Amino acid sequence: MSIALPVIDHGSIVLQTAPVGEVNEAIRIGLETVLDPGNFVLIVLASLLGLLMGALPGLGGPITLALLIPVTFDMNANVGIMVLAAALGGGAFGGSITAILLNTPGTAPNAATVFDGYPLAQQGRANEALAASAVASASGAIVGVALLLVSMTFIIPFALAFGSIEFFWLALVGLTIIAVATRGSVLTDLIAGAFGLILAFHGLNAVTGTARFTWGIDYLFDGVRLIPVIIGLFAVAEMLSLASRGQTISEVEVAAGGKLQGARAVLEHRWVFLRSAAIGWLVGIIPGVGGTLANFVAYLQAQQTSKDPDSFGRGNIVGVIASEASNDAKDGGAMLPTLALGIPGSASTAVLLGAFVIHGLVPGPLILDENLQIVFVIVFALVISNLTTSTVGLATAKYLARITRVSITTLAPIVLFVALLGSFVIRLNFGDVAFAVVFGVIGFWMIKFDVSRVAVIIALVLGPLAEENFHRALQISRGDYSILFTRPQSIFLIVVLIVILVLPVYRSLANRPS
Amino acid sequence: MAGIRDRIAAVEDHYWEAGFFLLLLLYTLLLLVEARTYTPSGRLFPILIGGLLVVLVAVKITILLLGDRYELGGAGLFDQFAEDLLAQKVGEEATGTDATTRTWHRYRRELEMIGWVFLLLVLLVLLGFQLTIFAFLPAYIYRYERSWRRVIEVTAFTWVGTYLIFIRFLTVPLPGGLIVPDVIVRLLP
Repeated sequence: MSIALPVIDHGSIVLQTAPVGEVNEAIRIGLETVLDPGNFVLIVLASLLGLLMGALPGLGGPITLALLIPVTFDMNANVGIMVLAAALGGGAFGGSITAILLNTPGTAPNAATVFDGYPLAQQGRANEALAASAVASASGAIVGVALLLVSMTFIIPFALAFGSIEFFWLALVGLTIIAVATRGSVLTDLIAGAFGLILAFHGLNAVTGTARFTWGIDYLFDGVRLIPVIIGLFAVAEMLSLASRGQTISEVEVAAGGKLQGARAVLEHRWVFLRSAAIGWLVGIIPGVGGTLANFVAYLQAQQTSKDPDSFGRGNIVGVIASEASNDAKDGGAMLPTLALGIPGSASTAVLLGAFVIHGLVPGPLILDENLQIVFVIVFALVISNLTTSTVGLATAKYLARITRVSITTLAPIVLFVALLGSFVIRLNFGDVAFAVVFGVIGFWMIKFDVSRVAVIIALVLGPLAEENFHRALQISRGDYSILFTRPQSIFLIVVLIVILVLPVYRSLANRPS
Repeated sequence: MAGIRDRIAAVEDHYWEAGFFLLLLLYTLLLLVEARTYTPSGRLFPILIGGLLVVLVAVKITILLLGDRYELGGAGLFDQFAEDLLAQKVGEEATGTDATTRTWHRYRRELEMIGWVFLLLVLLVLLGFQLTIFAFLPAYIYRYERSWRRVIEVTAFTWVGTYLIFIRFLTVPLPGGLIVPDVIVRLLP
């Protein structure tokens, strides 16, 4: 008996059969690796580190992995990759802790969690939000790796079907979500999104070769960096806002017993959870798109399919479940192009690819042929790490929630210091610290005037994706604009974009009293 | 001085908001002027998005300054404009000396907090990260809580956390500052 696995042969994807025995052997080696007592302890420690780093603004995801790679130098390849995969798994949930408690996404993919997570914390329901996030994260990750294993044999052509043109339309779909998913005034949110796009145009554009809006400042040659902006707009601005009002995060006592309610909520809303996880996994497969888009698409579908869409953004637990499920499932999806094609599905998997090379593994189809056990090591490590971090999250939710009642004059200086330290650590550049401060002040005014900061982040992430792929598509077609509208995948995405724009207006008109 | 203070406090919120968007408008116009010097492919997106942003911000400023003279209504998007404006109008109803004083205190506190953040940045540049913990945290916490015990607890907690995570585990080279060179910072553990 044999099983089919995709490999590239003379430029085409073909299915190469591997005896089931080889697959069984790979599973056995994978299990032996992760269940070895010493290695199991390493997974737990790496997961907790990923959790802690994910919670510190600016230090999650790729930075955690980059800092851990030297630690794995002397390890066996299987063990080294196992440690990195475990840290990756822990980071996603870590980012949701600060998103819920401090209105600061630990990483960009946690941005949609703030919509409903923070309002829940303000209502004294931080327990419930953290528990729901913990369960949705772990379950979403398990769904993601399960889909990875099941789909490896046939999903590769889907990933390869996305080229520059489709990336351009995908980015526009993501940008359209700004106008629809965010809770505030549509006009103000569009302004915020356009502002984010304008920020994204600063610096050297790789496709056009133009250095734009640098004003002679060397720092701006690299453009507006995402992490200092996130730290400024969220961590610094939020502390400024709370400190100037003399308010704690939650003005009400933390509600007791919310943990079970939060955990149960995932089961009660299991269909939303499953759809969100599937969306996260699907978007994660597309190389280079990243988790931010997955997060928002999942959030939007949860909102639009809800019987009470207006409650989103005001503390609806389903919003937290949808964004966290997709955020963790995307890692499973991102592993597919990373392992099977050697193309990173996200920034974190790009760093993981670097680790492959350091450990003498050749990323791409050959890995499936020569080191199949790596796939199962990564899968098992992700599962264990997500279960670990979610258990820790559930166990500590009650204590973490108390942060929302700490006096702001105690909390603010600590958060401000750690936030600016986090912005420095990224590139050891004081310019990033100054940027974080400037955007902190801008973010403070954005809070005052109810301008969406999340819209700025979405645009800052997706703007370059849209522009670069637009120009790349035109280069491929030698200036023929019709290429943007002729491929079936493009037409599908255009239809999705129109539906996203039209649906809320239709629902608004349909619900008006006659 | 009291007269200036009262005049500042008497400015309604939507004028400050209009000022914020005016700054954004001016920066965008500056970008559009600069974009004209770029190649066609380099300026395409900035001009498209910049032009759109100018229109959106102009509409927003108009609504903020003149919105009560227009009747707003229609499909979903525009109903939201009307609701926003009504929300702003409700906030403007407070008048009188007490309200002016409260408003001034609010503005003063906001400026104070912004000042603290810039002070933190200056201290980081002058003293470096480690020594800033011992300067900024005690100053801030004692200013608002008047408790040396809280100062010691928070400062110790922050320094130990920073040391263990960033210096020992991640081996991040936290530099000294302009007036406290690295050689002195290296004397710390």
